Amino acid sequence: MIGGVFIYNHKGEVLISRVYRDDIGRNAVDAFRVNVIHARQQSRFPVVNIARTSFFYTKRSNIWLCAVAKQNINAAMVFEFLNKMIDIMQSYFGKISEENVKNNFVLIYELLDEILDFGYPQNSDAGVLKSFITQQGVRPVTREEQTNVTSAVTGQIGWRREGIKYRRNELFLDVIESVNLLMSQQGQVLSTHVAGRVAMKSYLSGMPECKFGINDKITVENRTKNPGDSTNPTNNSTANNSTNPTTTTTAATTKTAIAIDDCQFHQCVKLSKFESEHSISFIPPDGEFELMRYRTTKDISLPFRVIPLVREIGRTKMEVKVVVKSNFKPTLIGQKIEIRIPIPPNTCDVQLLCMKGKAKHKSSDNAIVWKMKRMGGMKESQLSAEIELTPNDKKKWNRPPISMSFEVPFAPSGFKVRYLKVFEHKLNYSDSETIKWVRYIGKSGLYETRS
Amino acid sequence: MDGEGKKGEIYELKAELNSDKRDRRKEAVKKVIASMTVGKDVSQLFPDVINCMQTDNLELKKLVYLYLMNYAKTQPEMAILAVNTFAKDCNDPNPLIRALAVRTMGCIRVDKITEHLCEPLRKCLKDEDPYVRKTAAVCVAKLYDINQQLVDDQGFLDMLRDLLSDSNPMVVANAVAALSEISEQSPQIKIFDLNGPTVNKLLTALNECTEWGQVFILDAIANYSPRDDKDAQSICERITPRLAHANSAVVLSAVKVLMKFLELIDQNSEFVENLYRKLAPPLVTLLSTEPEIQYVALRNINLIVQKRSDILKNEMKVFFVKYNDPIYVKLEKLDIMIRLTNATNIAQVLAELKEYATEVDVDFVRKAVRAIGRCAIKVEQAAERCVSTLIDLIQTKVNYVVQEAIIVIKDIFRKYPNKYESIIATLCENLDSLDEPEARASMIWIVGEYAERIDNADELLEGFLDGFKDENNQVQLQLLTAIVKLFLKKPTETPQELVTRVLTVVTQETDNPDLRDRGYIYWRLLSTDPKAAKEVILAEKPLISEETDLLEPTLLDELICHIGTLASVYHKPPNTFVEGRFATKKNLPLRSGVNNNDSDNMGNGVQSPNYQQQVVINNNVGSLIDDFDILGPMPNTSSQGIDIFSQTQQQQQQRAPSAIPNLLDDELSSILGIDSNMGNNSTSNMNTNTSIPPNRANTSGGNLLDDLFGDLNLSSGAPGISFSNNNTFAMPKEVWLSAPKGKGLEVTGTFARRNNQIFMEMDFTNKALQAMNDFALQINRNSFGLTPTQPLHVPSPLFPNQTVSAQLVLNNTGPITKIDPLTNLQVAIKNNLDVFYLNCIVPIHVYFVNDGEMDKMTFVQTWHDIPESNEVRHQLQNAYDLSIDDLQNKLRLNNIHTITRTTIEQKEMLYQTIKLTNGIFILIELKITPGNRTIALERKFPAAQGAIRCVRYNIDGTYCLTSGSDRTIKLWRPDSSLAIKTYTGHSQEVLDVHSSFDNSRLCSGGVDKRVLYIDVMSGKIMKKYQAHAGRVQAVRFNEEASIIYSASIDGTVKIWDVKSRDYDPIQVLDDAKDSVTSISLGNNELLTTSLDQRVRIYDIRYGKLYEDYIGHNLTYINISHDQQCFLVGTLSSQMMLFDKINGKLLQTFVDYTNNTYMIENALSNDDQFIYSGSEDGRLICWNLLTAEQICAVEHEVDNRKSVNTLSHHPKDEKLLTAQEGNIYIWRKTDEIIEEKPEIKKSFITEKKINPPKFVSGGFE
Repeated sequence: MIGGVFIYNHKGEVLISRVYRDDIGRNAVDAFRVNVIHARQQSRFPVVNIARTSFFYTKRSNIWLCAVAKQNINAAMVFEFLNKMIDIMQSYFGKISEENVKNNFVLIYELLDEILDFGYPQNSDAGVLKSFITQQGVRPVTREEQTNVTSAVTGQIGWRREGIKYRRNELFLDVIESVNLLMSQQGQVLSTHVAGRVAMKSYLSGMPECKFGINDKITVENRTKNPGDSTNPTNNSTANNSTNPTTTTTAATTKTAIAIDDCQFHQCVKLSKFESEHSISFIPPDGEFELMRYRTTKDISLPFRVIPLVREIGRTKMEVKVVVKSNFKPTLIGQKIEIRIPIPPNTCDVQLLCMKGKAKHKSSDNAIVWKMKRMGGMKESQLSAEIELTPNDKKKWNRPPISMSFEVPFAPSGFKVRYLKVFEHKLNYSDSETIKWVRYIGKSGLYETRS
Repeated sequence: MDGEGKKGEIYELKAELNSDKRDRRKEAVKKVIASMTVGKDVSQLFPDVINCMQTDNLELKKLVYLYLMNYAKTQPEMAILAVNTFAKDCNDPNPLIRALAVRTMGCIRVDKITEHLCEPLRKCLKDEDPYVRKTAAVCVAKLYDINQQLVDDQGFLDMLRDLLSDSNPMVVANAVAALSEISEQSPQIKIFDLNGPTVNKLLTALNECTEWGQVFILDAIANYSPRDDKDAQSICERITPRLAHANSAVVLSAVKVLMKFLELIDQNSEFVENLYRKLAPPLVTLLSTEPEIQYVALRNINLIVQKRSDILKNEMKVFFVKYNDPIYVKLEKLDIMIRLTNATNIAQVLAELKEYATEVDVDFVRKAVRAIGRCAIKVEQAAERCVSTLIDLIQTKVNYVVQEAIIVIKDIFRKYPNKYESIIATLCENLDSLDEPEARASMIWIVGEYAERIDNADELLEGFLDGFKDENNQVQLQLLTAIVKLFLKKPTETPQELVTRVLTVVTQETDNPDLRDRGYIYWRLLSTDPKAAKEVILAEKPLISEETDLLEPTLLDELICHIGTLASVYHKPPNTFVEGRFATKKNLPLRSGVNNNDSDNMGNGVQSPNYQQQVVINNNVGSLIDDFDILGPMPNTSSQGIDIFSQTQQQQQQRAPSAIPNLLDDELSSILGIDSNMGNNSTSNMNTNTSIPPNRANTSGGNLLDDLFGDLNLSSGAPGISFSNNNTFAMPKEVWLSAPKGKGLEVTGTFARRNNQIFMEMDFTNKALQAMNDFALQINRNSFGLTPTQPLHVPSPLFPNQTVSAQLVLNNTGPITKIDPLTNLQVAIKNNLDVFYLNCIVPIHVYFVNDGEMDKMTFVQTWHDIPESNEVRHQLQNAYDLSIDDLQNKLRLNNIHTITRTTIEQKEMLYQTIKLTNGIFILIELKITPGNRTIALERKFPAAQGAIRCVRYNIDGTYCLTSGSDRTIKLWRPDSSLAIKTYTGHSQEVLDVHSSFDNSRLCSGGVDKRVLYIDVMSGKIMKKYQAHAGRVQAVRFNEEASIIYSASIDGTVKIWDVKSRDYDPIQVLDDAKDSVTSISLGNNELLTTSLDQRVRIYDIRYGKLYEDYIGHNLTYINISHDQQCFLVGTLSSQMMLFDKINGKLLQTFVDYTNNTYMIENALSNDDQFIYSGSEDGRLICWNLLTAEQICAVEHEVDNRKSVNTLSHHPKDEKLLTAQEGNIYIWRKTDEIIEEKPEIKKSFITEKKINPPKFVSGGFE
């Protein structure tokens, strides 16, 4: 199992070092610094083996996080753990920076003591940890409270403590999808998929049982098969009417059911129930969390299309023309549109002309950045650029792809929340009293067109 | 100055640490920790920091503990001071502090402290708070790392195992983690016994514990070997939901379990197809995680694709490289893309690869170019397109692209000769730009190979030759060969001159031996026989294989078992990068029913960690000899009146006195020995009981003739068969050289004697990826002077996965050297790869020569001359009831000659001789006691109540009760098969029934959870108790029939008072942690067995409970009639007899099958014998004292259904058993009961072993 965890700054000075196992010595700390951080050639793998010791590392801003082990340990688990640790630290003190780590080193040690025991990851849910690891000193706690804490750490629902109360029971659902696209110059879609996640913010009292319904093909088909289990119209309407108007409009653009390739759930979701009945039921953690992640590849409506045209005129001149077409309902508006057109490093002058928005030549990035605040559906816009190059035949320019980022107020996969029912038997507030908000955001992931 | 400054700092800290203000102390400790982190030595502050330990500030306490963990080792004496605080903290009311204390104590690796750790740890393991328990569980692993002995002695392992049944899933998960680690450290001891019920518990906990806990549990389950494919399937079904977990480690561990268990499931079944469908999406999803995790996932996908390419065959697109991927992700994706390439998607792949070849990263571009070449080799239809793509790339003139392209084009030429030579011209254009040795060598190879089509080949090569000395070795070799090729193809002037030049340079001016040797060989060839040279140098080359970059299959299989771990990331077995610890090699499980030699080995490897083929053979033989060593000089058997003796005569001087008798004894016993387990068609047993090595699975002897007799039985059926000459005995082939040791060559073999010659028969199997040739074999000097008469002939080449048989006639004229053991033979086998050395044991019967007959008088004379000390006795069994004539014939066929036959005391005596090839005679006296089977079937009758679940005699044996699956109980008069009455009242199967001492009442229990109390005469149900939560497995009356005990699967024994009107139990014994399987009543005690592997003895008078941990799942218990011992049946095919008073294991009874069902056992009335049913349809009887199996009787010839239940007659030597719907009554044959010692052997043999002597000129 994990033998030790080290945190370094970019200079290779060790900020935190916690050793769990006897087989890891102090020299391991130095070995990593010498062989990875200070190495002449940048290491090309996230796992390196130095003198029979394996180092797993990741870098956040200027900070290196490194886990060491001498055994044949579960590598996926180590990286998952490092990511989790970053999440926890972020939720405690914000951005991971040298200063923050230094200021909170006592806290980090305390956390490391709790989340790893003899190198075995233990409960690492930030919400629960916050209930008993605080930096405000120890509150005098009653015995009952203590057992509450320990049962929360170890219990079957480790992500939620008992006795939560809200005056107003409210929940927010964000369906955030990022569309990934790789398109060839000729406009042929090489690969596309939507990585979606459903983020939930719950402010619910007690231990509520929630049931979540989506327009997944399998569920919908099951439903049509057994008409006895017909959809509950009230729930549908609560989900739809609760929040912004986009839900209704997207409903029109999408088909009734979508095929989800794969989905993953937060640990609160009862997986065996999902496997057997395809129903998503869970007791949510308090506050913000990611309920599910999913991936679809079929029938994705691509919100934008980029059509590039690059012409090299001789060795010193180049002409670039880029057309962007929006491809969604005219009533909707896309936002934060940015198109990044890479140009050769030996560019000396660029002349730009665009119909809409602002375009700039950023020589530091070797790219033209074209920004538009918003763009309606079914519109088209064009940019043309004349680029002058200094003659240079040292290196061939390899034409990186044109990338684009945007935000649209619908789910490009057609994903739809059908209902979210809340049951709390003890406190007796009913499903209809909870206020629910649903929002759909479509974002760009890696949205690239080869030029 | 600097040093003083540091000192000053420490003084300052010291002062602050001793300050009386709490805040200042805390700040000071923080500073200390900060210095510690940076690596400064602050150990001098130890006492001051320890002083701060007594605080109620948790934060401060944690910091002090942190300090303590770091420095305790350097200051062991001081660390002791902390012990008291720990002990105090372990009793703190706050569970967080209790846990903190136990967690920290485990990290302090000071021997003196560990002693003090035990008590608190024991307490914490039983703490009421799960948080403390889960911490304590890990602490056991910590302690084990420091002091294994201590953990063993203190019984912490048992406590840890108990935690597996804890109610809190997180405790279970940590216990699993700790146990897994401990068992990895000590693989020789079976610490973490994964069996069906345990796995079940784990699977239940899996649903509820944290993500990390799920990883621990899944990794542990991966080490479990399912019983059969159904078991594997059901586990797979329960694990598949984990594939939807957000934590990639959980997903990968689940994939590992599935990939492993898939091996056990019928590959064509729908289940596998479904599983494939379910596996693909989560694997793809892993590619949208953080790059580091993607990397781990991709390395694993690479393995999965090699093992089962079908899973991801439709997912090519997701592996397309993204511009922003880190380089390590890009390279891995590329690798996987090529593995998934096939004719349907090649167009897409090629377009992508072409794109990649224009990227910036040099390594990536190179790999992409190489990938194009690999596509060409893999998909023939696309070869042309690939080649044209490569040509396009060469046109770009980017230096490293061109070089890489040329290297792959060489491979393409080799794969498709004479197809793409048109492009040679283009290649030649780039000759000058090549600066890397591999590219240059490739180009030269191309020029040489196609010299006849390249007009200026000579010029080109000459150009290279000019700078010959500066070239890399690889290039030089290639150039030499190319020039010679050129000369052979175009023997004109310039080439000739070139050849002379190159050969001169090579042979005279170079230091490299390879190069020089090759030069000399070419020179010699060219000068002596140009035609031969042409044949050699221009010979057809073997085709290049499609998948040169695949991992070797055995390695791949091992890595599949390590999915998710570092081994799968490095693509190396763990022992190559893990230090110190003895790493057990993991292998994929194998489907039962696939029965080649190899598969057996593999299957074994999983279960028995110390799997080492070669050693197994030797060990086994060694232990055999040891066994007989004991038997030989100290014939304890004969003291029981077993009349066996043998003598060894005319001891030869130069041999060790004991060597020969032992050896022969071993062999003879195996020839005549009968191991009922092996003989009785129970090869199926062996498959299930895989902890025994497949070859020589027997425990008591090498049973040669046993098989021989088996042969006979099969071939004849009727007595008086004629024996053909071919009917000699040969051992089955065993593995001599395993594939991993033989670099892919596997050799299995055996020895046999036919037509008075010794044959060595071998099968050669090539398990490597390349063909093998040039086989040869040599035999080292040995005790019998065996040498081969002709060279080994193996048709070569031996292609991958091909098996050929070879036979070698041996004679014994070779030089003689004594080796130990005498029958050992050291063999060397050579092929083109290497020379392999192996040991094999030559069965001694091949040395028996056919002229071993001796004159009667000489025999008698010799017999008397043999000193006592050379005698060896042994007793053997004959389960096949061979007649004496048959036996004689059979032995004669194997050159064991009968001299005379007489009858003494109603026993047949055979006097026999054997002569060995080296002239040694062995004299044997074989005494045969004609015996019947010890147990004879008296009566059999159908019960007509479905499958019978239990049979029970009543108190005096005149009646019996049976219960059946048809929900009834029947009362019989067994002696006349008369059914007297049928009782109903259960709504489901009835599992147990018992009658009261006065025969007036019955009690019964069944699947319906009920316990019934029935009046025998009227059949009326007097009482119906229904308080059990699970089915009732056993019921008993007490002696006065006033109380009923009932044991149930719900883990309780409930006690009912039949006299009371109350329907609640008067007492509930709920100590068992798992289902209670049986009860037995002693005089003042109640004994129960449970699946939690414990026997519990309740002393009723004192109200005490004694628990005995047995270590196996227990199914049935019987207390002996003298109340001194108890006998338990286990689910691991052994019965164990324990002393009741001190719990000592007295005897273990084996050689029957009990892995699944609850098989009952019984003791005879005089406690002399033990009976048990068996899952293969036999009734087996053992001697209680010696644990020897006396006999095994089959119930029906063709019916091997399990015999679950039996009951011994309370007075007579009779037994009642049931198999399926029939009841059987058995009686022991009288004569046998009279002469007790002989019962054990229906055949008693006697032999004399004699005398080594090299006879010169006869034996007179």
